Amino acid sequence: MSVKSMLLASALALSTALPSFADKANDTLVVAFNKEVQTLDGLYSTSRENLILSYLTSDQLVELNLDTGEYEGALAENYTWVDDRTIDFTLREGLTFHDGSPVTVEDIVYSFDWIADADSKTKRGAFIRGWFESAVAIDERTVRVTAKQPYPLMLRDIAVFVLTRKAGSYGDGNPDALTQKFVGTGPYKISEFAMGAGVQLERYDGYYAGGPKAAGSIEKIVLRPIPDWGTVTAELLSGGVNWSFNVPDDTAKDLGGLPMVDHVSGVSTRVAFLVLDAAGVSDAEGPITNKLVRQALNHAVNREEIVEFLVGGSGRVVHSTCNAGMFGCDVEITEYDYDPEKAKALLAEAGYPDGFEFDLTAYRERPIMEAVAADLAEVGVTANVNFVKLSALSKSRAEGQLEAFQNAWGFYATPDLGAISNYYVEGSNRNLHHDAEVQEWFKAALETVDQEERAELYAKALKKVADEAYLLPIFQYSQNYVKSVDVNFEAPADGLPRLNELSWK
Amino acid sequence: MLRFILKRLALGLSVALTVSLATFLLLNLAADPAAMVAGEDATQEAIEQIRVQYGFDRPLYVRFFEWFGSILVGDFGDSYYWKKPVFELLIERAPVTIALALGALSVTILVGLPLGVLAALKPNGWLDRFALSFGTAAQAVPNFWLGLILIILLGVMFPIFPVSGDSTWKHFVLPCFVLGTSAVPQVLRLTRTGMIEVLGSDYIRTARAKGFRPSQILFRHALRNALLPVVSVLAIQLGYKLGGSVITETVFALNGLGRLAYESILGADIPTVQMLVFFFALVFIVLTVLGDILNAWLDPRMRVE
Repeated sequence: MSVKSMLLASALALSTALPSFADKANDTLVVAFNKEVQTLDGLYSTSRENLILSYLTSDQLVELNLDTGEYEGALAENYTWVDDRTIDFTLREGLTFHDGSPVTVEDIVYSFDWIADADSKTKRGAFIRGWFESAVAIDERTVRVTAKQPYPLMLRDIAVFVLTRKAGSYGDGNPDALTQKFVGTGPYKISEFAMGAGVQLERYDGYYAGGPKAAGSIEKIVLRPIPDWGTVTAELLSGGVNWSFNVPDDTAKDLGGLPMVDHVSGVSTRVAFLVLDAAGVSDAEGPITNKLVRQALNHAVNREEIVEFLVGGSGRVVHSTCNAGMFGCDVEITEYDYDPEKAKALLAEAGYPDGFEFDLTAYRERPIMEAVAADLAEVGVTANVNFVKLSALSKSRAEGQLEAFQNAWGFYATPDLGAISNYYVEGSNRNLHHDAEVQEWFKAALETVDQEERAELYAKALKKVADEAYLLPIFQYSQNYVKSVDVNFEAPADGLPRLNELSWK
Repeated sequence: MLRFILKRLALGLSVALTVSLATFLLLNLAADPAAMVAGEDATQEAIEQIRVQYGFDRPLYVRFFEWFGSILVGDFGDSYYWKKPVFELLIERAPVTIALALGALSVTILVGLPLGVLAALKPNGWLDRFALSFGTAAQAVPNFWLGLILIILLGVMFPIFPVSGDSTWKHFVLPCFVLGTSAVPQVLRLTRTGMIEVLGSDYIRTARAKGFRPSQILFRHALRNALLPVVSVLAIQLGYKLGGSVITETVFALNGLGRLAYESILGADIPTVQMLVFFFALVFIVLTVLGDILNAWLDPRMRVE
């Protein structure tokens, strides 16, 4: 490339960069994202940033009502269970895409078929392929979705993973067709997207009324990637940014003390826990295969202090891989309180009076992992915290090499224990207990739509997992938001911020 | 001279390829690239699908030769994340980094050279002391700290410049200053030392005795010779800056190559990382050769050699 063309490209890049006037007067809300939005197509990214963007630009047939825990019709005016594996969805009238074209049953069928097709390579397909059999248009407004077998999370999967796309959007099968130019149905439409520079959205005035998703209040929303929290702070102070999320606890607290910034703390559905190799996958004779040892490890960790001093905000101690209000979690289980003496006694009883050494593979929240290791050291157990990238952890896990590993599961913001089944079902390399009963109960819970039966199965499974101390649950994450004082915002109960609900004071 | 340049360029190209090979091996062996691309909450099925889709299931040597064959015909592959040819990504992001690098180099030259010359005029005088103190301070201050202080001062307290972004020339003022300042001490000291040495030499004394004007002596006779090592350093500094100033680009949210490299490494976007490493290596090599040529132009003795 010649110098001249470089300079020309430079001038072009500067002239097309996104403007960002965070201002009530301009009716433009500027949002700082710590990570970049890499694609406009939410089917091809599972990042939190993309979930927030997709909520603004895409709709699904149904939507979860956070107050009732029920799924309500969104693009579908209503739905009817035909039998325990078939649902009929009736579309609302007058729905339109952002280009003004009507949303039809063909679009819905196309969306299901595209996502379920393994060749489409979407990051959502794997979640529905296990149960999805067909989506068929019955008449001009009705689509019938059928599962291969009864599946309790059918509505949840449709609400979370089946984003509506216009029929033919991907041409002859090009997964990248909507990466940079996107036409959706949500309350906001894309007006500009420059890779690395951000996304500009405009309120879609043709958005349907009466649905569960609020129409946009603010006219324009700009999503800007700003990787450094110091810079986000300065932008908030100078009025260049109005809202941000995922803010580190100390930064959020500092910012909350300033007159022009509010700190809002909310929960996240993400739960942190250690998976212990109870089945002896990595070492058949390892100390962790001993139930007393695993119970000792659970007693040794001071979860309360970790939450108070390291998690902060709205973080909570957990004793299972559940968070409050989640379906399947309303059950009394064995809780391991912080008791180092009891831990020592259990270790002695297990034949390890002087403790032992094991490898703990971790990939995030280093201070917390170090605190866990320090607590374990207090009872004589040396945890060698092997801090690696997630991909390296995944590789070792797939090879069955891990004695214990850290995990932080986000549940895709779904308040249902079924969303974490891969830690309990047979055949998953995240399952290191291999307990036949627990595996069977979780499998059965995934194959029935009877909520009472599911709740019972989960209760039995969670009790046994806790009694056997297969895992070492630690905490539920806190989600910190910061916003300028002139913005109305409430922390969502499921940790997924809905920017269309933001308004000016 | 031409033979010398060609030889250096060929050598440089082989260095660039070796660096790329090392990068390829490190990226593929250190972690599971399929899991990295799939993301944190990906299912095992999704990871396996990506493994097949991107060809990570094939032996490493097959993938290496395939990649090597492609770059020989100028195809650097497509980015896993950005879903487009990595060369296009490079072209898109390069302008910001080039603007930043040239701006920063200008700051380095405009501050470092005059200060070095002025300091050399009266060694150990107050101006010299000031210049050296300034140099020491500039060297000691970390980039990210200076960046944040400038943002607070000139972006928040006295909002003269925008805090972050790259949409106007004003956005580049603070980052160029921050990045440029870091190289000032080196240029300042080299200029000062070179000038003191040259100003004490016989031919300068002769020039003075012949009655040349001080400015003529300083700029036409002394500075030209004192600049020789400075030119080499500036070439290397430009290489550093073009090589992506990760910290400066991150602090000021500039959408350049440094940030692209950082994100690509975090996301195991192997084709992008490989392309960038190859590009950065090439930039260094070309600039070093250019520095040599410039030196040869400034100093006829080198041309004879």
